[in-house]
Amino acid sequence: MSFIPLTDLKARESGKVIEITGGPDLESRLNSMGIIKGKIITKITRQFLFGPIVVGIDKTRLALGHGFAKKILVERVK
Amino acid sequence: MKFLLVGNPNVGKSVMFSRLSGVQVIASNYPGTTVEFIQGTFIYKGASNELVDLPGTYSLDPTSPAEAVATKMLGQGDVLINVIDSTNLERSLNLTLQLIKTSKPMIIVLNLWDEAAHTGITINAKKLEEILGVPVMTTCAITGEGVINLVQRLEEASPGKYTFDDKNRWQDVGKIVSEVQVIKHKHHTILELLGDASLSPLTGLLLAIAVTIGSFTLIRFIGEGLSNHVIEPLFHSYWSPVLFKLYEKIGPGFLSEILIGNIQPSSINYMTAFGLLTTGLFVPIALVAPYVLAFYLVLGLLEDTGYLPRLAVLADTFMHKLGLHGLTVIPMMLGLGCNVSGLMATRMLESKRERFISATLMCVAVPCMSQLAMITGLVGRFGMSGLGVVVITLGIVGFLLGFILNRVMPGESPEIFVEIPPYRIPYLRVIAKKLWMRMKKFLLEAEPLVLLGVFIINILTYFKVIDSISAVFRPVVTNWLGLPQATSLALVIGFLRKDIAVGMLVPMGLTQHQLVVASVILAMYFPCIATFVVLWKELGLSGLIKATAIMVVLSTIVGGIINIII
Repeated sequence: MSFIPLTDLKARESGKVIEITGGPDLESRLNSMGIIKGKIITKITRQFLFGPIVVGIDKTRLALGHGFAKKILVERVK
Repeated sequence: MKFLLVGNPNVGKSVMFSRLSGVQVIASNYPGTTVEFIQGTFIYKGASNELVDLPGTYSLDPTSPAEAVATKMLGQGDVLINVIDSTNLERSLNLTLQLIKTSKPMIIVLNLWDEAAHTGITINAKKLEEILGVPVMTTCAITGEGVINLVQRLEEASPGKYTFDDKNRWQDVGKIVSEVQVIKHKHHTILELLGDASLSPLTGLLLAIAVTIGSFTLIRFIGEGLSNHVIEPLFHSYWSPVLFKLYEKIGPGFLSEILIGNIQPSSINYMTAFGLLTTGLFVPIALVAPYVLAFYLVLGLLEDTGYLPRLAVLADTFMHKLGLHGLTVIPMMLGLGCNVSGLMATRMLESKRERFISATLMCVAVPCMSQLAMITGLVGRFGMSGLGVVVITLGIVGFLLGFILNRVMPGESPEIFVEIPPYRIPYLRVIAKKLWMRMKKFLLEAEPLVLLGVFIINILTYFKVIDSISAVFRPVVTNWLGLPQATSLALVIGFLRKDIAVGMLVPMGLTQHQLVVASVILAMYFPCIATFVVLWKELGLSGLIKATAIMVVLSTIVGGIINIII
């Protein structure tokens, strides 16, 4: 199984969170939004030119800067 | 006793606060509407109790000044009212468990209960109560359902009995959720589909353009219509006769100069008279208020549907060029209504650098609606081209300034991190109430300052001090900016309020070219006094000095350049 950054998922694809590499600050912010290791999240949309990614965590929609999204490693879920 | 409303952003704490305390506060459909704690009182068990509405927070680990306020205030409360978004139980409970660790008596409110039902979510409140050992109530704060029951059970507030290891908090949350919540799968609603469509790059951008153009067209249509066809005729038919009578009574002289100003025996030109009871009332009530009303109506709709955070996502890439992230569009939009509320809203931003850049850009390039209404009326008389030059100049200057500040200031722009709320159909009653609050605030704050401005202008004219004041500014104003010497008085009065300062240009008979230059200068040379005070509070003294120095220098340069090239 290969792990890819969240940015590499296509829109509407889901992934299981494997690792958050951005350091404890980002980890705690993502944690408070429910993005933790093992959680399945869905990429809803992306923007042009490395713009923010919108992810779905259950019913929540979260907009994340491209830099943040790159630091979330996921395993593609079919 | 002190009761605190705590919870995630955008779960309805402010609506609940208004319900319980009767104090009206602004509530909108985006996270971060409340950036400061708001205090009120409510009668409970025959005694008056304190009620505090805290800014929303996702965890007790604050990431913005607004969140820090929430965590700091927590220690001072006696009872916590934990407001939960029923459509987002899992994330809300994550905070609830952290709150239980504080061992304060608390009560849980499952708010947005009706919306949860619509989306197919059922929560067993009783079971949740048993598991946590904390009373759990269900409410719909916006309609008031369940609020009375909540008050009745406040005395049962308890610290809870649930114990867990903080490291495994999410596992515990997951376990609790699986026991109390049932989700019936429903097809996506039209609002949900529209919600995602307005975030995708192509449809989203088209929609954003349509919304922006539509909003400004609507504001101009309503503003101009109300001003020209409703309020102005009212002034002429009902107020003018009163003034004529008054003039007959007091006759010409100092008093009538100040109260009424220059009028003809048979007609009043409210723009050139410049008395307290003529121009002093006409500018804020007949010219500015209609636009402010139109603006806040449109803003209220954008806020309550939940569109603004989506605009933030679309604008993010662009805003990064200015050292900001997309969420800054929300303070900027509020700043378009009034820079004071815009500056307060910059507290939702994470870094000091970002707050300095956004505050400075707002003061330079985002004129408030009061000023914009006057500029529209004045420059717009010559057609759209002059108005276009003013707006485009401010846009370019704002962009370049942000671009440069982003390059020279140490640090980098933080990434956007914001929850996108679902689209909601706004409640008309809520929109109307919010509009009324904002209009009341506008009139109470604007009118005294405009009257003071008109009074000062009259005194200065009467005692002929004007010439010596404008002589000071002459080299810059006349030689460099190509404006008549008298406009320097508008620069002085602009410190009180910008709308009346723009109004002062009317009797001077400026050319279109001069009006454009003067409008740009007045928009960016210095903040008005109310903005000045808030800017000081938000940025500190050194930040204030830096920001205002930028404004003075930049407006002089830009004014001179457009004087030469257009």
